Amino acid sequence: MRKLLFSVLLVVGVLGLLGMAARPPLVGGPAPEITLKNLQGQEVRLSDLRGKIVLLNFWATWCKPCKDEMPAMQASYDKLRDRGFVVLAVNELEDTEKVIEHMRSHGHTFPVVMDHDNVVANRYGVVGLPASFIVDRQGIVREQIMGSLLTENRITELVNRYGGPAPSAHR
Amino acid sequence: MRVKHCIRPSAAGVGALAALVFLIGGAFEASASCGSASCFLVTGSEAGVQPKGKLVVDLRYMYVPSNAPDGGLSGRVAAVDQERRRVILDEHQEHRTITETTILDVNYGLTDRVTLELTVPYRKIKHSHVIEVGEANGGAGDFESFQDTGLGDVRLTGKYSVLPTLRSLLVFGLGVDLPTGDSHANNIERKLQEPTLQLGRRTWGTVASIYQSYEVIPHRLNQFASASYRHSFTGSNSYRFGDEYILTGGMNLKTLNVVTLTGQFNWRYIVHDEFAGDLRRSLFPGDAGFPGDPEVIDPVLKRRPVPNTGSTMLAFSPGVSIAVTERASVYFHAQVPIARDFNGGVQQEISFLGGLTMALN
Repeated sequence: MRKLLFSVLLVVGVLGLLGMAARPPLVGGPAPEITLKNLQGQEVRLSDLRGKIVLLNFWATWCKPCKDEMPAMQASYDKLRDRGFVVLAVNELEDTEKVIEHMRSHGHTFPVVMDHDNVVANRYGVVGLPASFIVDRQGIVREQIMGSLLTENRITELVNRYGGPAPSAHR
Repeated sequence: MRVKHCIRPSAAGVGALAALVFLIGGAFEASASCGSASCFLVTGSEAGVQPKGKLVVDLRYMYVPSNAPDGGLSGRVAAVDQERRRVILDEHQEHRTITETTILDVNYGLTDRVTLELTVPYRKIKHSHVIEVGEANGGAGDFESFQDTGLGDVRLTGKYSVLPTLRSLLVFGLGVDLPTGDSHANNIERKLQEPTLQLGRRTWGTVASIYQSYEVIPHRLNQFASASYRHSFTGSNSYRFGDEYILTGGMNLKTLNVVTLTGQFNWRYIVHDEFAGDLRRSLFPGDAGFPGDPEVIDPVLKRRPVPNTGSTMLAFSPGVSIAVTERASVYFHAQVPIARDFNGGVQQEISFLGGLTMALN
């Protein structure tokens, strides 16, 4: 009887742990809303970018691979902005002043929002940096890229694949 | 294409870079009556949870001296005669043990949540004691200086991280100790040496652990705690090593870009070992028949706790980790006993541990 009880408790415990650890897959579903302040203290919502193709990038200044891929993000932002492409860089757990200084010294101009409480990263299941997500014009998550894989070519390819015709083409 | 990933740098700074490194409080070998022993602190590298496909290798060296409680020789302690199935009280006097262990530790991320770890120890045990007190050499016993070197018991561990975030971690581990170490070394009298002085335990074992970590100040100050429980099954020699409980709590402080300081408290409790044999007592001067064969107290072969095994110890362990490249770091820890009770056997002194951790991909 005791063995049976122990076995039941063990199974329930393991299933509970697995359940606790499970997160629904993001790719293919609507991107969880983001409401964070940018470096100027203004509130930015991901839903406000509906109609654009968004590269959502989670990063920190101490993360070298994050910094390594930022020039490609900046170049793509400059080159593809007219096609409705936008970068939204979500900084994790750092001081705003430090991030402002980093952006200034590296000459990056794409938008940055501050995830001071790690809430948005948790919502996206980010446990390592960098992590990137491609959100299409309908607000659907199309790609999830964990680790530093972003190059200018890769970003262009992703925009071509998921961007569809630029909004200007409809007009 | 090579994927680079940064995860929880404070924790990583303790043992490995560019990898999710948590420290499962794992002692390696435990002390026992004749006293081979080990550091039981958290180094940050012995149990990393890695992202999928990541391979991290750690090579470390532990130096653990143990001495009789007041230096010199200890009081008379019990011995286990495996061949004749005897637990003999007051048969030994301990002098000193030095346990050196070189450990190759390999962690591989099967998924982002599940990591497999292989731990391969290579052990060198040097032990000196007086044996057959009350019997040999006019009752004074024979001084023995024993040494053995070789592969210890290999451990295979699966680790599972629950709800990891950039800021906090909770990891469960379940390991199996394989009886790979030699357990047939002889003493100077060409009798099978005591189980506690063998390289391996001659039996399987299991280890369950839980590790928790939180970035108090991200990338600057990291808190961690762990608990582990180790159980060894009874070996074919009827000897069972006592269960071992370890609790650890500590902090990592990242100072310079490449330097992380760590401080931790470690508490370990080991239950008495057990052996199935009869019970005897070595003779003292004044006993009839001294010097001579130990006196039989209970001739029945049955499972008995082995006196002078088991221990309790609280220690503080300061350490430092230095990132030497983007993928490799070196670390060094000392373990300083604060309070200890080794039941009359040799007791662990200040111990040292150093190692190199390297991410291979």
